[in-house]
Amino acid sequence: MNLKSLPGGVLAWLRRTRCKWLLVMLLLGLVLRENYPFSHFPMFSSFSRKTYFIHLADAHGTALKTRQFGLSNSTLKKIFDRARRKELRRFADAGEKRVPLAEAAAAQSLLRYLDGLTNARPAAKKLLPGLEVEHVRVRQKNDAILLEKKILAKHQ
Amino acid sequence: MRQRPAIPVFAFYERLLMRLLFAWLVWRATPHVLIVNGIPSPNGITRLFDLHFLLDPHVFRVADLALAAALIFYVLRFVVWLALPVALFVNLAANGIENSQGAIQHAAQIVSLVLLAQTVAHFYGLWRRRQGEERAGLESRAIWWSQQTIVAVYLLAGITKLITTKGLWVFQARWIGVSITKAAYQSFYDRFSQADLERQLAVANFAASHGWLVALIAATGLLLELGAPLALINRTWAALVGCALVCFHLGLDYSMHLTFIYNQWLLVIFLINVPFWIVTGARQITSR
Repeated sequence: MNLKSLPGGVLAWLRRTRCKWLLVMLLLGLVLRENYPFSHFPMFSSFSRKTYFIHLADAHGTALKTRQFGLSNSTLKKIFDRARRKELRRFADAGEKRVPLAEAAAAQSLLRYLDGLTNARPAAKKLLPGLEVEHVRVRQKNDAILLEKKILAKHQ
Repeated sequence: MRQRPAIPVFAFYERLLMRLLFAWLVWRATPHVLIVNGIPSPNGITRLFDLHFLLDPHVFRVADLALAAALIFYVLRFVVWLALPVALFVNLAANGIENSQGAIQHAAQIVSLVLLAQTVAHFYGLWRRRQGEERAGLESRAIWWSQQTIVAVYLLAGITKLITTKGLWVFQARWIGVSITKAAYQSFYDRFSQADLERQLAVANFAASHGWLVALIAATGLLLELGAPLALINRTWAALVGCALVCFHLGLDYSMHLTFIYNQWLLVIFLINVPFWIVTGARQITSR
């Protein structure tokens, strides 16, 4: 195979192919990544032995439907994740306390977001006093799935 | 050797039904009320344009009505040059604002991308018409580009898995039980369905204790994503790949409550294309 002719061959194929739009979409997705409407679709693109989710509970610790606040649980976690990443950078020098500090700050930031979100939802606003952000760690040990729960923040 | 046409040709009834169903899907995939707290983390289109004016419910209502009118015009093929950009703008803006809350959702993205493809295809087609291309090709190109967009989404998802895990995605998939558990609880806290939670946790526990079997199933899913371009060979391949991908989604829905309902509908409308097979089957029967 003559490698020198490869670029020319590729160009000729690109000119000939009926699927140019497919290539354009692929390129835009890979380059622009997460910029609506473009995406590189990273959902479940990697797996790990451990992960976590969060949920909301009332002042008595009773779990609440996240939809009551007008968003899905998955969206709630993504908003928390974003704040967590930001706080991890802020607490970069906090040593062993870095993660707990960042998670507590991110949970507070999430509560502030919910404050703003519930302005137009009186029913949800009533749930805010004492509202808890609970963090549940999920991990796999041998063939078993284990859950560990902790409270990250409480609405004042 | 028979030369394949640059753009597959679609019959009038196919184009009409596709337009009708796609317009309905765009309507479904566009938020009609914005439950948001400003635009705290601009993403995509909200980075390019200041869309705060749409947060006013009255303005947003006007945008919503404009979308309805645009979609009706799109179905009727009346002033498509205006209908498509209006529908695209309202769809992108509303979804863009929802995706600017610090959380990116991937449910409606594929619909926006197909709408974008159809808009670009339309204007490219108008330009090509000036170069002497036949008028009939205009809408067929929009469908052909829609098919390519759907295929690109799956192919991209497959490529991203390989890039992110440096090719080891299938081996990592043996820990999918952890992700299924997370998805099960996330879904539970959305709707409080104890029965769904128990079913999904049973799947998660099975996955945790049968890691290599799960890896094998995951490999099939990955191959399906990477093999999605086969759908562009011809109508039969499009239907086969479309059906396989719908089954893949139904499996994900059962195990993880991830419906990706818009993906499924787009596969049904543009790849499986049921009306074509009904008409073709009926013609075969009547010609005997």
